[in-house]
Amino acid sequence: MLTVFIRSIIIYVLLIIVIRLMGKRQIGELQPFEFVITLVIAEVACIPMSDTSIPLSHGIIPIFTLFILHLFITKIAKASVKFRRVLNGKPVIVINPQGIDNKVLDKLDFDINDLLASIRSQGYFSPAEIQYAILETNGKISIMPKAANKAATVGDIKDFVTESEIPYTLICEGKLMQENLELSGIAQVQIDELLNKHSLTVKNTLLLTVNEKTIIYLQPYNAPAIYDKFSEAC
Amino acid sequence: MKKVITALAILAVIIGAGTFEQIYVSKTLDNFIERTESLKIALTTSNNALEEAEKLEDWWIEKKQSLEALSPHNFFMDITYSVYEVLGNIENDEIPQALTRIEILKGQISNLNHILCIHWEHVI
Repeated sequence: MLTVFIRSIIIYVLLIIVIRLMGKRQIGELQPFEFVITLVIAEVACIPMSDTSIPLSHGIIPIFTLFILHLFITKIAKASVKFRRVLNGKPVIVINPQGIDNKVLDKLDFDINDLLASIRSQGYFSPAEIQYAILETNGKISIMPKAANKAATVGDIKDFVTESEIPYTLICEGKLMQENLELSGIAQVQIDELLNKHSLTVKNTLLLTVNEKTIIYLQPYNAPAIYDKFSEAC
Repeated sequence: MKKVITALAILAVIIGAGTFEQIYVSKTLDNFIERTESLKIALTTSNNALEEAEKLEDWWIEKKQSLEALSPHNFFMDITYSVYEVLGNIENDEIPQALTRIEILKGQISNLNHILCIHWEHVI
């Protein structure tokens, strides 16, 4: 068991080093150490599943070992910015107001075609539309468009904007969400009255959401949705 | 915090179970070697050798179950065959063959002890 335990640690550390050396391109959306966990954990879980001559502990112990390692690395990364930098790398600006930073692309082994594909996937078909583009540690590109290319917002049109509240899910798949009900400030009686009005019960309601304490989305099972306002509905 | 405590608990279980396995396997196999030595002495002094061999066989069959549960390995079967061969040799009064087989058995047990116990060459 101890041999398996120590081997799991050694292989895990080696995989992290290799993935970091490979660079951000191969990582996709995960941080390097998360990518390693994803790769390895499925593999080790399958080994005893497919080969009964291998004891189950030879799959279980590596999985738990990886969980322990992942947890401790996450904790250390949270506590130390330096360690986080070493583990994940840091975000890099690839497009700035002067244009594409070719030197940075060379360092990252990122070619122009990859860059164009990444910005196109975000809806920008030319670097001319972009003020800044940042390659994140998880391999994704974040884009700040130029002012002229930004989508208009309510704030651009109006001087005064009221903030929205998030909708509360009060009934989900026939079950009342008690915690959300308390957070929303809506009384149980109001829900009962609303459901009675539409000849429904909690059990035959697929979804009930309320936002701004008045706007209702009520979706029964196997029936059209009901859009309404609370004060008018009740 | 709960995750950290869970992780530490799992770590303690893994290390504890692993340490127990190492100690148990090592002690059992050392005991096995001592018993084969006793059998060898019994053979050379013609002193209830068959009875000793049968006791060894019963002891091994019992211990093998717990050892295989902790650290399964193909060598357990080879050792079992060797024990049966020793018993067969003694039943047929083939003393020189039995003594040879006992030496082979001791070698197999030492080898298995080395394989199952943690060593850096196994890790690498």
